[in-house]
Amino acid sequence: MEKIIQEILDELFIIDPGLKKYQKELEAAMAKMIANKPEEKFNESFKEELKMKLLARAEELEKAGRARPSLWRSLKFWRGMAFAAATIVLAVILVVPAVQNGWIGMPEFGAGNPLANFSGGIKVQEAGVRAFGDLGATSAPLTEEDLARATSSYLPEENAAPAAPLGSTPQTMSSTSRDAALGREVLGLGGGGGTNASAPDIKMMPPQYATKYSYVYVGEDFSLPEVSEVAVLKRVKNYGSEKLNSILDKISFGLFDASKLSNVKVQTLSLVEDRDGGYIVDFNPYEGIVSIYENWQRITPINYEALPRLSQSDVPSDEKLIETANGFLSRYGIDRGNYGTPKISQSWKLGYAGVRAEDIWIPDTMTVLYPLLVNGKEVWEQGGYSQAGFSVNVNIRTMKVTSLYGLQTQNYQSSNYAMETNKERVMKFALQGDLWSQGDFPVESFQVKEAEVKLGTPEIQYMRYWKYDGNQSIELLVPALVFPVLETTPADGSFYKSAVVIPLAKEILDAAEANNTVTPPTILKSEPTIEPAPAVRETQ
Amino acid sequence: MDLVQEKQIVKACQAGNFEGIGLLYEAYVKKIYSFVYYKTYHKETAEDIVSDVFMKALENIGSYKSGRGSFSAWLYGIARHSVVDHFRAARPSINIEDVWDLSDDQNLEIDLDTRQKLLAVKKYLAKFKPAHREIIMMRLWGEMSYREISEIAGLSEANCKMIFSREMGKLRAEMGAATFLLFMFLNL
Repeated sequence: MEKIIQEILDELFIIDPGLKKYQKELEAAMAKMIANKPEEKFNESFKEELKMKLLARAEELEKAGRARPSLWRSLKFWRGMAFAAATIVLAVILVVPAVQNGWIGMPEFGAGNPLANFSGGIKVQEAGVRAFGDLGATSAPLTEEDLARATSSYLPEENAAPAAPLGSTPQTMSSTSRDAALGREVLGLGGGGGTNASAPDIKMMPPQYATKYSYVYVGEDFSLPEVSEVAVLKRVKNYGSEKLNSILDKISFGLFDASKLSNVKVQTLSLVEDRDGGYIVDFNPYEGIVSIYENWQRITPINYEALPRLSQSDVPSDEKLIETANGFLSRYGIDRGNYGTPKISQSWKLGYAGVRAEDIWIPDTMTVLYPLLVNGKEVWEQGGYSQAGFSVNVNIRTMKVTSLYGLQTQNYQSSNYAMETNKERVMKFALQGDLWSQGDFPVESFQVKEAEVKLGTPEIQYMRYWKYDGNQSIELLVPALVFPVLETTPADGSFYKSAVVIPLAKEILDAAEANNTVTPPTILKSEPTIEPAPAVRETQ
Repeated sequence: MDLVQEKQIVKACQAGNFEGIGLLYEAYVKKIYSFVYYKTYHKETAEDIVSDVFMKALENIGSYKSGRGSFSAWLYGIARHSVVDHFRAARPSINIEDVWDLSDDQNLEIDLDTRQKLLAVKKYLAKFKPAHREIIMMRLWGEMSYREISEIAGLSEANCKMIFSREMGKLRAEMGAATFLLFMFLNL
């Protein structure tokens, strides 16, 4: 307590030297305040639970496109009776036929299965050349019609993608730019969030220190494939079989008669294992996404605060974690055929470089990642931070699976696009770190340190690429060169990229180049400005 | 996570790529919880509000405009509004920013141990303007730097320092000699 009081006193006397004569009284006042500081009672299990919900919702938004109108469901909703009631009704109606037909585990579906189309197998259907429109136009100009449409529920995607460019514009605009162009102020919902004219004008406050990264290629010499086109895949979404949707025609919920609805579709489906230690399965037929998590109504609460802090020796071996996750997948009939060798996420170790092992906070939950393979290739996210796939979270205190996220259908259309054949151009982007680095921080206000990122020999994999069309998002897999990050010099524990991912579709590079007019090849990283990092990080 | 990476993640989220949302969450969840807890003093209420804050932030991240301030200021703004909404639901006619704006006869849910501690300082803190009280609590209880406080409060760093210094002067005068003597001889 003395340290913080002294620090505050020193600051006070600089601001108002006249206070110095009251030093002892100020010290006493501050000591009293600090002695009566309430205990915050921050709960790690709450943090983890909320994180799972947030990630699941983020994944839904990512699939649906961010322009989709907000239909958020808060944690309170999930805790509410409405959810429980709806779940029970839907479970009774649909769980029997769904489970009897084995929708989770069955590789092929019979004609009678209402959840046909949701096989876990990869299906690719040929489409015409450039069938997914202009890949460089990541967002179409927003019109008043778009805005009007955005206020209604999102619509099923057209099965046949138009051959003409989808809203190609001379200059793509960010959503915020579009808001500005339309003179719209976007405010948050429910009184929270957003900014308005009466809000204080807060200026950006950049850190005093930053690291400027230079990318250096240290891999072997390589050449681009001698082809002129690449096959881009588009993930196909639809509401599935008419049979599933037709079930609703026959339902009366008591409160209303569902048969009165027109063109009714199932958008979400929740199945509950109503038993101790059971799970809840959320299924979104349109997006083709399954999430599984513990049935919070039937779990034994764990008082994490009363448990001793975990140490490195409490972390099970990778093999043990993978065995637990695999056992869960087998028990629920989840096919791993399209996924590569599972690995344990190391993200919880980020930022601990140079920290003593005993000071590292060990999370209660470890994540087993199952990387998606399409045509035998990995699928990387644009930023190079992670690979696509699904994840299984295992509580290492109980060795029980707590949740599964990211399992999705793999139905694609394929279309050929011109390939970038200029290796120098590809390397220019690779040594920039990504396609979209704008370097728009005011570099002159930083004290810049230098660091080097070494990139290894690239491999051709897929990059997951989102293209926006009105209030729809289109998920594309674009062949890309993936340059692994080998090391940073000096070693930097907070550099998060695992790879630099450069797509090989020429028009994406064209668009990036056209819009990236500033393009300093730097990524800046700030460092603590006031105090050295604490020995123990409480929140990460 | 540093500010530059944070900005990159936010931009990616605004473009529909939520790959980094977990990192943003990890960076802010405890800070936001503390901020909310110091306005509600009730664990379950704080957890409900924090859940709302992050869900709202996720759903509305497209509305965040970097030109108007930092992401953290935006997020704390959501938290502040969410707390007000929470209290407004109980007393629609009064602008309530935190529990200090409520009188003692309100049937408030406050953690028991916290209630005892607050009794010791309430008569002093309740006299400050809500915004000034927030600055005092962030500096003394949250041990936040003036840079952080200024972002959250939407004021300049110099202004925050000035407010804190002035209010500490008042606090000293309010607490007076009795507290000083207790501090000196009873070690509080």
